[in-house]
Amino acid sequence: MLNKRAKIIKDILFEPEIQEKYKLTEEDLTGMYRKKIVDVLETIVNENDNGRTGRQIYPVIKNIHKI
Amino acid sequence: MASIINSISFKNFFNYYGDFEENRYNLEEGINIIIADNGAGKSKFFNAFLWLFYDQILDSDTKQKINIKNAGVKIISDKAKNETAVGDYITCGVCVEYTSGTRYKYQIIKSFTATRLDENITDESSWQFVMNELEVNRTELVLHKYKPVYDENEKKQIIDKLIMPAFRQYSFLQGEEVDDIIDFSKKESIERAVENLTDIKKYEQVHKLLEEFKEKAFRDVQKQLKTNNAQNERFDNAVKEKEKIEQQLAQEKLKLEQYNETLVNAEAEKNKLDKRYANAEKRKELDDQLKPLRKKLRDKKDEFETFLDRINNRFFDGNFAWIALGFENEVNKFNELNDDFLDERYRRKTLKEVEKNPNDFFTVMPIGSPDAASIDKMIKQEHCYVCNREAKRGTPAHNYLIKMNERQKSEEVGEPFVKNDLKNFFGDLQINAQPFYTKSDSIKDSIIKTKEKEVELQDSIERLKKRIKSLEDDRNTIMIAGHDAEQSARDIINDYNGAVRRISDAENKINDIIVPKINKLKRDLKTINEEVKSLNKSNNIPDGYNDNYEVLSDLEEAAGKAKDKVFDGMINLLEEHANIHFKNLIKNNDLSGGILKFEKNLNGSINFNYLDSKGNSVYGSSEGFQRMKKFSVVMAIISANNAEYNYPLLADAPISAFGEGFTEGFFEAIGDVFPQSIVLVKELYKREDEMKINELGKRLLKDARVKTMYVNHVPENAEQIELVTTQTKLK
Amino acid sequence: MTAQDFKSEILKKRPRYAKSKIPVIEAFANKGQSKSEYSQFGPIYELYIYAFRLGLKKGLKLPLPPRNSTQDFIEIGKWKRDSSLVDFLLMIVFSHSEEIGFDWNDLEDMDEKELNVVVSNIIDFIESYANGGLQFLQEEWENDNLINSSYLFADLMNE
Repeated sequence: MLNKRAKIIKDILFEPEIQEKYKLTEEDLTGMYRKKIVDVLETIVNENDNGRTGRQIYPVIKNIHKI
Repeated sequence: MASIINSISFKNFFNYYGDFEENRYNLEEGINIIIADNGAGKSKFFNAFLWLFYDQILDSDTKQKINIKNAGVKIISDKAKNETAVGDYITCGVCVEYTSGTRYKYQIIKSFTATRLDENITDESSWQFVMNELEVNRTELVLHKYKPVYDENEKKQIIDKLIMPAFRQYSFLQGEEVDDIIDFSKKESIERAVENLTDIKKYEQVHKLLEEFKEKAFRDVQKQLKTNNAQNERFDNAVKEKEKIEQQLAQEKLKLEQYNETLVNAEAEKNKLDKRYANAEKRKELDDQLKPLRKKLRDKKDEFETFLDRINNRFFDGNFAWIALGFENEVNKFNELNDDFLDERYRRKTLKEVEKNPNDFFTVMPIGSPDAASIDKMIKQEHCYVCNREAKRGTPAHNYLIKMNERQKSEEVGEPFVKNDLKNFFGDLQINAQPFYTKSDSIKDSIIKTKEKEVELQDSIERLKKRIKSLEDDRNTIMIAGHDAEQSARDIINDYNGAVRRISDAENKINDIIVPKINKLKRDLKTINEEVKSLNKSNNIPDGYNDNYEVLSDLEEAAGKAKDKVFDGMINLLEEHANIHFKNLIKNNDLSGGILKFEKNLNGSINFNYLDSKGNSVYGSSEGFQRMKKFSVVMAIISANNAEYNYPLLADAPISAFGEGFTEGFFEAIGDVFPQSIVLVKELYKREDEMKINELGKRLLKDARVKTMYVNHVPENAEQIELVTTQTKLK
Repeated sequence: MTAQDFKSEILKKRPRYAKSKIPVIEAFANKGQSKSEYSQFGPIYELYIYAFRLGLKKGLKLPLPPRNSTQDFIEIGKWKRDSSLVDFLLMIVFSHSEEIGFDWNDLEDMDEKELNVVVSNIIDFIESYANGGLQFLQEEWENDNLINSSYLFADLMNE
């Protein structure tokens, strides 16, 4: 299950345009310090897996941006 | 841990008369073949699995699936019904044993009991049916002694584990069903397949969420701007422009949707007609073959009729003269009489002449002897060559020669010496009747030859009839398979061409007008978004809002692309696998060089075509070929799956009707894909053979991949009530 | 009388059959009309010649009943025109001259009256055997002994 989740995240973040724009590397996916974009996507994927709705997830994302 | 079916047995189920032990098929991992002619329990065998999984059977008359509860009287062996006394009951059921992994073996029994109420055995109301409880037993492989499972959920799980419901459609193939499983023109069909194989659903969910969040983030930004924006007007204008473009885009997307709908409907119709079209073409082809054959048959029959009518003409036709048979003695007698007649006639004539001139005829030479030319010569040379003496002019001898000469002439003039001169009467009869009496030796032969000719004609009529019958059977099979008996081949072809035209119209509209417009609007939207972003960068709203919108926008775009990539990747993988299977399936046929090509439609459905070696689509190929294409995809769905496929294939030989090449390819291909295959097939049956199988059947029997082979038998021309299927295990 | 005259005397005769044989004639000679269940001849004379042959070979001589109970049909001269069938028939008949009761050579010296008697005897001869043959066919037919085959008549001849 974890594998599949990681694969979705990687598939999306390693889309060339976005990868280049945010200069994303393998370390960004595993490292301690998370870029916000990685954090946002991981949150969405995980919370979706946990059966949370969009209305429940969006505030968590806003929280990442501290707004 | 693959599920392997160890055995299936029947009890009074259709023609499988008798108890489970008498109708048991032991099966093994690998390929299992059950060969049965029509009516020998093939579809009944298949029905057992329908019962097991779905509590249904397929009614062979209506081709409808009906619930087992409503099938009652139909599915019990007629012989068993007949042997049950009024008031007594019989049990009808199926039993399957399977192993999953190395530890457990399961037994599943579905059955019902029927009590006979009155005499009429085929009447539904003459029987009272009680469904027996589903019986599921389990044993550890080492123990061999079954223990019942009581928990209903567990029972269901055990049945599901045999073949998981999601995979039954790929595992459980009956002829035409292959066509319905793989209908990639229906978006659901391809999605269902890809969903079974990938996590595409997750990608879709994430993408949908991101779309939603992106909108939310934009509204959040807007809200912030409204409160503290100095450059309000410019920003508002940009936002208005953005909204205008979004509106146009929405409109175009609506249009696209409408055209897509047209396209989908047209494609659905085309696909529905695809098989019929192929059938219609095939039917037409058969009709084209039948027409001249039927004419030939009519002609031959006419020829035969005429021939029979004319047989009696041969008695009186001088070329055959059958009437003369047995008249040899008469003919001889006639000739004798004629000779005697001529002798007597001459004798009488001469006597008469002698009476007239006794001196001239002291000696008698027959008339015409010597001939006129010789007498002339003798007179000229004054020598008689009859007695080899001189006959000088003026001597009595010379005068005699002159008299002889005159006698000859007077005879030619024909002085009548009888009242009725009948010499020519008899002579003419003898000459004229020749055609009749000269054949008498050969008449018996002629009669025999005529009889042979009749047999020959009959044979050629029989051959024609057989050929026509077989073509008509083919034609009927197509009609039943395609349910298109009512519709004329021409209508189908017209409808088909109409659908193809509508598809092409819609595609042109979409590809040439709508999609370019949408793309332009999307580009515009992207630039105006950039403009909006740069306009609000200079605004004094917290960075978080702008960042949030930007990150979510970028993620939404990336997620959309990633989703498409996964889908496309799977389609490519399926295409690759399908081509491998397809090549295997057709390798024994004369199709070469072509490939299967999957093309994604704008609406997300898949066109899947066979391209020839030059890259052109091949349309309207035979039903067998269509089936083969689809079967390749079924196998691709299974083999493209990362994990091993763990379920048996149960197939009512879905392609064997289309030729030996297909059948052979089919058996080779399934061995690589399914851990166990149980295939029911008619086409390997050969009644005249000692083993009841044909050459291909014998080859397969020797094939190491084929683990078991059964032949089903039913007595020829048996009454329904005596119809009992028995089986021989060949391997 | 010339050979030609003599032949004409025979050819202009219309042989007769017993009225009792009409059913068998209708069954076995279709006269160009509808078919029956049995193999058939075409014109009556075909059946007649066949019956004659059958009668002669089987020795079934059966004189016709009195004239009132008989019926004539087409004259011999019109049987199978442009064919030598009649010549062959006459050949067979004349080979039986002894049975009919004349001598070939004597014919040449007979006067017309005597010849007419011979011709009449010849026709009787034909009629008697044809009648015998028809009688045989009728009995076989009535007793259901005829196998309905296209070779019915060919096979019957071989017996």
